[in-house]
Amino acid sequence: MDALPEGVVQHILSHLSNARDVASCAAVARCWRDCMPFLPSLYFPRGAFDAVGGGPASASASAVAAADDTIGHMVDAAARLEELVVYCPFSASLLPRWLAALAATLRVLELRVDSSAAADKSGHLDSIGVAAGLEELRLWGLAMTRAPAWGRMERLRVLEVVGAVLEDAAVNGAVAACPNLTDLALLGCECAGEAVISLALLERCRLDFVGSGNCSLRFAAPRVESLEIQGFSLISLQGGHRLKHLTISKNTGTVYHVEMGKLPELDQLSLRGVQWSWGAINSVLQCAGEVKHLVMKVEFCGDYDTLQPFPEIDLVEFFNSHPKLRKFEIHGAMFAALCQKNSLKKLDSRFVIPSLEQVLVTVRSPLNAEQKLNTLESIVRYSVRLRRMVIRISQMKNCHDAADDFFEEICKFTYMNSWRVCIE
Amino acid sequence: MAPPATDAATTKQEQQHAAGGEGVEVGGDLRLVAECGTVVRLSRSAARMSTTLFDMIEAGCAEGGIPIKGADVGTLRLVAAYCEKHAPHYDPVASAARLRDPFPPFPIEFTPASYAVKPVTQLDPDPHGLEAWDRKFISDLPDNSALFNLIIVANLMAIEDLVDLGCTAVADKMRGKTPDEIRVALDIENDYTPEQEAEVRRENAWAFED
Repeated sequence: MDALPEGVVQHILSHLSNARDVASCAAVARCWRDCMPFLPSLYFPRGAFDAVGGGPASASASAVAAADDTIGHMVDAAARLEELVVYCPFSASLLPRWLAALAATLRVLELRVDSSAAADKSGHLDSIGVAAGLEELRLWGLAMTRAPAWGRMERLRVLEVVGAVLEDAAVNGAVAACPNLTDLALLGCECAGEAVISLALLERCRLDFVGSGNCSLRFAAPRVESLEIQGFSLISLQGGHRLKHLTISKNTGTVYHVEMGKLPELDQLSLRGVQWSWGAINSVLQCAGEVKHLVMKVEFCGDYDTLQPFPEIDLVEFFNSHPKLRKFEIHGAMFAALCQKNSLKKLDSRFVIPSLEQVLVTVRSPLNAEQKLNTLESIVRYSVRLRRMVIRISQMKNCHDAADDFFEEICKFTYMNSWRVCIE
Repeated sequence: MAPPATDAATTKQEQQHAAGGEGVEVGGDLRLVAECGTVVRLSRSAARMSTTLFDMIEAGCAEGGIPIKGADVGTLRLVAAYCEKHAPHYDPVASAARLRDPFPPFPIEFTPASYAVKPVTQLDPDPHGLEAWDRKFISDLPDNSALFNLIIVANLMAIEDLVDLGCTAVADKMRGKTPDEIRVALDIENDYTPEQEAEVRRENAWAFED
């Protein structure tokens, strides 16, 4: 290996970022140790200092001290560190010092902050603003009660916060401090109030807000292509001209109101939740006329606390207003509401479901069996391109005769269309 | 056989030899000459992957034999095989972007980082099977010297992707090992004095606790 030129040796060592490997390599040979300051990336795994602390229990003081010491030492020695990832417990009070040392070159920063300890680390996290060249920032286990004092992080493109307790002012302030974000993810974030996100360059966004309060979202991103949000009761979306993938979920509670413009590029739409107001569902479906893949998994409608079934949805009207629909996944509640509303009796013989190729239907109850079978038959009859229909009845609720009869009818229907329909 | 000239341009002797001997057509395969004189052929499209060869082709001095100083036939054949395999899918822009660039310019259009928030659709990570081929290519090498020679020749010919592949392979041999194990795996001489070594070990004691 001595024949390798120094530049190549440095290139080889640059592939190592795990702090333990870096430390081992430093001890191999003197000439290797000289390469250490030029490493571009350092990663301190979660259990890196557990042995010092005497076992993998939660952050013991000696493990934290050892981490602080080593991280400080390696950061000081680094001449052009671009990426720093720290998953092991450390003292947040040292962060300002480390970031000041790395400010000129740091591009990627990932920290497991774990603010489970009582001390509020907001003040220390303000120092992140010092790294003006930062392009990617990921924070785990954050608690922020106010907007961080980051100034304007012009170069930041990716911001991800996972597992956090945030005041809405903190969310809004953090996002406002990073005007050029292209990727934003706030996952497992406990937050109530109103989140306001306005980002001109944003392309991909995932927001997962948990917690009991009613959260609302005002979202403006003209370039966004992929958006997944969970946990908001009131939603206002501005600028969906480039939106291709949209998922709106609410795992607990209700979606009351959704406001958005037309979505001309929409490929995939997914609506999920326990309860949505019908007005909200309707406004989304009306804006999604171009959708190709639709997943409807909402269990109840209703504008107030009482859970109500879906109002009737005319099948013909629905498929006419979504002519590009190729894949349709429809769960119990909405399926039960789909019906002809007498429109098929005086049907224009040219009615056709032009693009539908795959359907997944989940049937939860045997009530209104005749209507449901009619719907299935209509879908099969009028879909010229249908390749596959899967009917899921495994979670049916009632266990009396009506259920058995219904099951028999479904089986007959499947048999008659066995080349396209099957049961799961 | 006379030793190859020190610069990459062909000597008059070799040009005459080439023209008189095999009647190689202009625009055909390149002829790389190993240290021992054996010729290894390389198609022009594969030669693009070597910045050195690419520059020579552009400058019009890639006719006749091109001596590759210090390269043995075996290694040269391996390098040629790598280039021929990768040439159809070679994208110099993507390749350059993969290399570390400490101070990228401030672009308006910014390509998404590999581990950024993922879009819903997932692309096939190895659409042409090149990664699987590379893994076999490396694992088929008989020993460390073959690997080091490969890196040296690739570096000489400025084939960035192959240098990176080789360096990654060497780095993989170091991961998770103690300093002693690394020295054994890669046959490295310990140039620390005992006192220096003791000091280094003390500094990094946390890494050696097991």
